[in-house]
Amino acid sequence: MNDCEEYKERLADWHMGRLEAAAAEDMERHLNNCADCRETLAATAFVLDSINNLQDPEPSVQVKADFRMMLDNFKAKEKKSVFRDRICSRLLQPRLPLAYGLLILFGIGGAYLLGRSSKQELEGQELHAGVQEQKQTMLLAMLDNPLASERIKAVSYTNDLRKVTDKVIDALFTTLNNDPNVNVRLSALEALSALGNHPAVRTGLIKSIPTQDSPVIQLAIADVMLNLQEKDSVGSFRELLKQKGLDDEVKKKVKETITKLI
Amino acid sequence: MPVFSTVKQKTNKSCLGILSDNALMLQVKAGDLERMSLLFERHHKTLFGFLFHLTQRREASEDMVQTVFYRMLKYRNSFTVGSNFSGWMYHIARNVLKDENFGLYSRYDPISAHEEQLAGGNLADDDLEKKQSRQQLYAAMAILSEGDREILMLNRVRELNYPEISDIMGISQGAARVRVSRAIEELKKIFIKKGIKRDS
Amino acid sequence: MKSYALALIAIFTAVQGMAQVDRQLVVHLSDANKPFTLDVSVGSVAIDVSGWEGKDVVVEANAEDVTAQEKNNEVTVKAPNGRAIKLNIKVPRTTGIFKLSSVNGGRMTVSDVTGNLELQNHSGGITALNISGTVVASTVSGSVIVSFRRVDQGAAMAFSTVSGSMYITFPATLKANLKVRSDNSKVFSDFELASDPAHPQTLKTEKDGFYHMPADDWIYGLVGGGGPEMLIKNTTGNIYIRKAR
Repeated sequence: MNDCEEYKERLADWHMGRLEAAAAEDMERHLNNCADCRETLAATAFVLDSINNLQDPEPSVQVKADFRMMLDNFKAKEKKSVFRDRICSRLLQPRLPLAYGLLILFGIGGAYLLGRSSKQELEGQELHAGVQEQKQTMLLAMLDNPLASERIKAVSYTNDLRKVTDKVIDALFTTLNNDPNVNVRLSALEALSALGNHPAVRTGLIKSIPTQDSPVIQLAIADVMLNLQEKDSVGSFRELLKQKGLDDEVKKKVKETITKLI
Repeated sequence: MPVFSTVKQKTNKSCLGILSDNALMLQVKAGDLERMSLLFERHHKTLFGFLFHLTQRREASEDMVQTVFYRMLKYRNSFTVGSNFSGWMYHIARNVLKDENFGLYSRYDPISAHEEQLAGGNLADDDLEKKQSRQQLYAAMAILSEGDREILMLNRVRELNYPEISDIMGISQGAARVRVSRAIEELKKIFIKKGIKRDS
Repeated sequence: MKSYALALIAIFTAVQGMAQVDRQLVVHLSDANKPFTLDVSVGSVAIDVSGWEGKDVVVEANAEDVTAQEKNNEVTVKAPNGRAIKLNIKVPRTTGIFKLSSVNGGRMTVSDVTGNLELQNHSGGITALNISGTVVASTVSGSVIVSFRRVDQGAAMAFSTVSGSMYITFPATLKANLKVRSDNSKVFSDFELASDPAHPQTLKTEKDGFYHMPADDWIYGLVGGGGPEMLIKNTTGNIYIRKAR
């Protein structure tokens, strides 16, 4: 008549509150009368409590920022594809004479299906690509956005990357040296200055000096080189001083910088 | 794709005017993608904990959280009125773990995990005692089989009951109950072997 | 789709209350319900843009050889170099993208518009008043005065000049990560600033409730718990970052 085995099997459930009222009552009555089961319960409870008391670690603040970026990007992509699907579905409803219509259907439909499958392939690749690579891809695409504000945002995302790859550094330099907007170039410069421990960054910044013609950037780059204590930049700064029409403030600062670096 | 079903909606908070997880997810499915951020607020910490306890890798677990939410957005159409949000989310989490070759289908390596702890600096713990007991538990869990470890961590999630766990694991509810029970017994034995005792 | 179309009606009038207007161009937008773009890139031209109740873009200039072209809601205004020309442009109050750039024209002003503003100047300040949206503004000599009625949530912005004071007024509900620097002058703000965990600093206040910070290096402060980055920089001239009343 040893149905303790059955009770023992359900001790965990009882402890977790998963037994329905009648069964729970029954269990409690049994426990009242069975020291052995009480002992087993204590051991079971200890194990379950140890597991439940495991502290869930606090994820870093980056997780939320990453999620925001991912969601915004996802929404933007969805808008685009909804638009395309709408066009495609309209095209697939021909009101032309049947033969002609079928021809078009095959042509467009075929192209659409082709497009669809390669899209799925790409999506499959996306899913398997690491989260960090996805972030990088999003970021690099954003650096080409027609709005300066979005490009500035993209540059600020580089601060959130766990590992800054050469691709990203190249993109930042392209931005620093070619972006039509002064403020975007300025933010790229600031992002690069935070990466001063990469030797490629220092070399790139030195090369960039004579190409900059905006006083805002010229002044900022002088600050950056001073901060990095980059003595190798002196040559480039001397070259910059030869530039025609150089702003007075810039002349002053560059001379100061050269003096401090030597 | 398994159908997740619940007989009773125990987590339905709608009577308070707060939308339940299922209702929110249905809104996401209907096109209100922004609602996903509310689901993120509610669940990302527990999800991160689940992944972390199984892999001991902080960065990888953070990345996997992103992947899980991305997949829920991507596959939102497969979430139906009968679905259970937490069951669905942890089912996806398990797949992500599989894909990333962590925890489940690769050797759980407590040594390299420990190294990552030292390098990465883990939980800021004021309490040395708490830290020690946590380390003890992790060490004990490392000895468990992967399946036992996984089912105990699933069982630990408040929102997952036997119906959800059975759907996630693809087994019957009865089998799920038995597995949980057996895993607990295994862990008990390990506790005894390692001399982990409760304070009387 | 409209093919490349020039849509302009040239009226030669002398308008009262405004200095001599030699040319007035009324530009119809292809779709008045959709956002428009205004593109003005000039040399020594003063640009003044303001929002109005009408549906068209109206360009007034004190010179004859000013042109305005429209294609799919993109309006491009061109003016010749070399002379001091004034452009007064009125735009609808619907959402627009504004790309305005001048070199020697003097102060650039925009007011009462909605949308995304990219303002570049050189010898002359920039004023943008009662803006609903996003502003990215840069000049070399001249002050930068910007006031927002509303900011686009989540949009990054930047304001820079070399010599000139800066007055930026944001709505009190602003959520942003401020990054501010003035090499030679001070920074004042009446926003409640929290330290940025990524760049821990002590942010000092003084009795009148304003933060007074000498800023020969970057100051990082979180407003409203943090948000997109707002970069504000100059070399000389005080910087005031204020809450709208």
